[in-house]
Amino acid sequence: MFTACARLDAPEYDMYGASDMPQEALPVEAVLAEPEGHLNQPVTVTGTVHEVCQMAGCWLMLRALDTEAGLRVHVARSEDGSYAFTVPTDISGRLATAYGVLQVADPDAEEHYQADAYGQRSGFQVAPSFSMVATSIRIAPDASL
Amino acid sequence: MTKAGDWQSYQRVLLPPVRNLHHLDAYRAQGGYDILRTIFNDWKPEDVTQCVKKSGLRGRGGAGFPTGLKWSFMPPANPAVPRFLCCNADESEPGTFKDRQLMEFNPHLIFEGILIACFAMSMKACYLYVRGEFSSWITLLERELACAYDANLVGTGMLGTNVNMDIILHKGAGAYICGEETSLMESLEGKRAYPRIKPPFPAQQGIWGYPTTINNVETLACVPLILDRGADWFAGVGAQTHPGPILYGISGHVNRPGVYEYPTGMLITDLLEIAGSMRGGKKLKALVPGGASVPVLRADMIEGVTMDVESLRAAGSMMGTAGMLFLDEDTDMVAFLRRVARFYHHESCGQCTPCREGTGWMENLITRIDDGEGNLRDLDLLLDLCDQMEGRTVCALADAAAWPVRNTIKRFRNDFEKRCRPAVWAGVA
Repeated sequence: MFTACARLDAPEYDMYGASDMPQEALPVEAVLAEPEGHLNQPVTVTGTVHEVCQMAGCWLMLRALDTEAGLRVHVARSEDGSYAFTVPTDISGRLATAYGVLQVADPDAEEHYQADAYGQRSGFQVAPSFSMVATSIRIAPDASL
Repeated sequence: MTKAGDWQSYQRVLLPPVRNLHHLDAYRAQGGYDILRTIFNDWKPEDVTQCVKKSGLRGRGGAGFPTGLKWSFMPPANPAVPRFLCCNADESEPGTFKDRQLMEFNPHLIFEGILIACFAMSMKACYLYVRGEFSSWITLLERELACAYDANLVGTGMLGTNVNMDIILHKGAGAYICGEETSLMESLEGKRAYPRIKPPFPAQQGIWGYPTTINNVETLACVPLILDRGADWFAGVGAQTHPGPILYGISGHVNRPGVYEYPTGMLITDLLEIAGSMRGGKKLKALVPGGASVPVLRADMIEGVTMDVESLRAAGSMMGTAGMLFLDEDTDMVAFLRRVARFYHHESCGQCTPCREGTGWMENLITRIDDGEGNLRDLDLLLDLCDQMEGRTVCALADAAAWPVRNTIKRFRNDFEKRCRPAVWAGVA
């Protein structure tokens, strides 16, 4: 009985970073359709995880439905470059919600990120134009389990 | 007007000019612990965190991470699961000596900050980890902490409320690596101070495996001021993106070295003037702006640069701990770097091969150059060594060792080349 209660109370989502994420989230398609309105501002974005950094779990790619566009979500870092948190590297295909500041992506770093995602790429052709530095990321449970 | 605003009329708040402020009576006479009582009675924990977030306070221990955000990384409170705060007073970075001043002259501000942070994150205990060599400061802290316990400011039923919190003073044993948050936790648990691999991060599994937040002494000392004077006041002091009062530890070849409290965003040239300019009227050659591990700046690189994260990043360095080391025109940069490399070699914990071996080779190569036995190719070998160390270890000590080497060679290459033997080409005598 006690075990059953504990399971019922268990959180459905895995939370990484700050625990106080705003509830209202925009689909990644909506943000990428009109990025200018959100640029350099905090925004909550939701979408399916397409790729994850396999080296450290320090970024993930949210892909827009029916398009090649995506949003690379980086975890927040300290001034010395250390990560404030990381995400698991096996969350591709799961629904994720990220809260952070939207910014223009750095095209020069794309090759580095592609290398970090090696072995997990599945034909993602277009380098993202925008990225986000997230202070919190929420990952939905794996629907296949 | 600089980012620091009207700094000439700035009134010190971290180290105010109050006689015997380190005594509890003098601290309370200045309104000390009043805001703690107000918070216990009228505030919700999440409101305290929001206030610190709004203030824009960044950690003062070197990494500069937003403090309120760090606090919000803690999982939701569960009465069945203990959680800890750790105040990092293991101040050992060469050129950094500002936390020591706070411990000596305003210890109750630290205690009050600790207690407010514990309230904000629903914690009942804080470990205050103090550098072992600070024996006289440890004695002072122990005495004042006992006074705070006697006055019911710490302990059970604090200030007549039902809040219980403890502060446990823990003495380090002299290892620089213990300033790294995960090795500090290992040390607290009685283990050898090897840094832990992250994840799990301290907010998930910290001291004894329980959620933990680690903050620097000066960071926590800012907290009562933020709560007392308001987040807007703090956010309005100094640079917009890195606000607040800050302790600049100025050392090196200046006339009046010491700890100076001013807003962030001060012009480096103004701070040099405050410290009495260069000793003997000599010219400035180099500046290390934030403790030994941050990249060194040439004199021609500091014009118009202010002491805040953005400005220093643009100039090619980092804020670090704001421990500023001014070096004059007579400084032998090779000897300077040799000393820095020796420090990191000595303090490498030895867990990761790139750091254990790399810091040793770094010292060997720089020593060879300093002794006049080096070759020009040793400079490129050193830079290659930096590449092999950075980002390849569990903690940031290897990076901290590599940054000054890389940047000192890059920015003072002539000084190094002059000390090397000329290149000898095959077939040429």
